Amino acid sequence: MSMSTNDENLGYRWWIKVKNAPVVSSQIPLEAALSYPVCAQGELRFFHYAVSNGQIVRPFTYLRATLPDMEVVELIIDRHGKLFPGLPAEPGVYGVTFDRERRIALLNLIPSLAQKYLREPAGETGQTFLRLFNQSVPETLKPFYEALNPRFFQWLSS
Amino acid sequence: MYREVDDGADRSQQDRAAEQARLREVMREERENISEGDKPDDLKTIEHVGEPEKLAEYGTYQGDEGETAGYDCVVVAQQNALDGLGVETTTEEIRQIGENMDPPAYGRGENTYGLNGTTPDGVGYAFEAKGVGRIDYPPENSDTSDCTEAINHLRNELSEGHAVIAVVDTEPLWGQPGGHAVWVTGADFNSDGRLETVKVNDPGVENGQNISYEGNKFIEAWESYDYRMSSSQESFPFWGEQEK
Repeated sequence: MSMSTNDENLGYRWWIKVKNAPVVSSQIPLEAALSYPVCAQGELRFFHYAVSNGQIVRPFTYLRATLPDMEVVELIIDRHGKLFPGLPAEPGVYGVTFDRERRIALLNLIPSLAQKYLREPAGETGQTFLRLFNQSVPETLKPFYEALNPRFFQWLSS
Repeated sequence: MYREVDDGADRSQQDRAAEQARLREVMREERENISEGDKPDDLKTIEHVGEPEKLAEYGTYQGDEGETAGYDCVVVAQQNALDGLGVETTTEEIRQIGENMDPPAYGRGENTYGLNGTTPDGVGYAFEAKGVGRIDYPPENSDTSDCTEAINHLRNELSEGHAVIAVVDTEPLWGQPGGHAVWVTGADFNSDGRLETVKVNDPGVENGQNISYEGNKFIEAWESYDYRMSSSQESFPFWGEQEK
């Protein structure tokens, strides 16, 4: 899979690469959903969660991948509900409207954000990301995203 | 099937199933309204691969109800394909085979802590276990983004009369995202070799026997899982007969 930085679809391609990484595809069922990434220094962080009958069953992995090559360097499968301390094991109902273009646009902002992260203010890209994120992510999952890297969300508003 | 992070239309499973059925009907009508004669010469279908009509009778629906209905697409696709290959088995036997593998290819119930369903690497495990052989695509260490190569592999496997199960994202097919598996029973190619239509027995669709997905949409759905598919190494029993 080409990872050219000129690729406008790079963020989406990164996401697909993580979704299909061998360590993921050998352990995580097809039926699990992969979150959007959250930036950290030199890596992206994700989680998987299961959905059944319109309910988010629970987030059950913590996953880190390097940048820019997107190799998965850590995958923790949380079998005992201890990965996100203080957050509900079963976040419950989800309710946002699906929009494919918005989803891909959100993912494709990630390379630019990852490059800027903590080096300069997130600026307009950060605002756009936050707007799309708030439109796309169920309220009940937002605390799990923030738990991946609270500093990222503080920086987005800078 | 699962739902992605941002697909949260807050509807009941029945509503979603009804919408999927409606979308499928609209797609079917649209396809039927374009006759072969109306297409430009360079887009006319010239090659049909596979035997989707003959294999339709083996397709079944994974259902909407029951403990495992939401994550049995791979189990049902494998059972249906094995049935077509003349191998007797049940969905329960296939679940148990997957659960007992190391690492497990399939999980269900409380012991899996929400990790229910089949791993992408596990797709095709029942072919191997039931003695019809299994070959996975893309080949190890190959370029997983090579669409042309993936289509060539699909064409070759269908041409051999093998059972093919492909891993797809349902979003380009149904309008709502999810990890899913379908039994590919045929494909149509036009005169420039482009994949025009893919015929499947889709366990996630009620009456999903021998339904068609537009080639471009199928490719988009398939690309999301690196063009992953698993094929039997044995052919359908009628395959040798028709060549005689």
